[in-house]
Amino acid sequence: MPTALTLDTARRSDGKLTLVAAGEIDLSNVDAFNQALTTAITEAAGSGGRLTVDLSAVEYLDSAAVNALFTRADHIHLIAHPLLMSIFAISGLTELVTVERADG
Amino acid sequence: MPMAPPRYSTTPIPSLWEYDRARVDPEQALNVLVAAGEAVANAIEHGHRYSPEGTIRLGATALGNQVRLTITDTGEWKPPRPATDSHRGRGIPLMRMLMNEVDIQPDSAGTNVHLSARIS
Repeated sequence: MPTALTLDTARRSDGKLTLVAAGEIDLSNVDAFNQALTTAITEAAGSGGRLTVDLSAVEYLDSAAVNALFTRADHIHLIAHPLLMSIFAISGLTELVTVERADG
Repeated sequence: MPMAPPRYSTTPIPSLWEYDRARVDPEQALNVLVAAGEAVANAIEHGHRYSPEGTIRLGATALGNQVRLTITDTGEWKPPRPATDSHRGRGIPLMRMLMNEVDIQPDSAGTNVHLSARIS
């Protein structure tokens, strides 16, 4: 049974394309996350912008998800749940990607 | 040999949120949870790649200001290869960064991973 994860891509009022993930990302559902990232990055690039990946409702992720974000570092901007900030800092992702702390 | 999609119950891991009752810093608890998840994911991907029906056990004890976790599988240990296995190449380094001690002991019966961290 895959872990619960919902993925929605929408254009925000400021015109930025945003992929909103909610739930948990791990080995069992990282393929869906990867697929959503690829599709949304292509769409964002088409309008000449970076994709915002909103993970403020993701409370758990593993290295498979961190990896998915690393490989797309040049194309994304992140919004993260406060509890995940240290995972992103420890893994070095914050050196490559702007990670904005969501309001806890 | 076709590999069955990984399936695993997440039941034991959320129980680590029992930390909450012990008033552990939530960020620290999440770091331990992620490290434990890595060890379990490694056991599934590497230990049980060719024996999908195996069992993985996770035990956790908190004593004083230290939490110790043991993740045991009955599969065959296969060292991760970051170059060809980029999907999980960051797993073990991440585990080492999140925990104070990481000890991986493969033997003929399976692999034991011991993790420990100081908690406050």
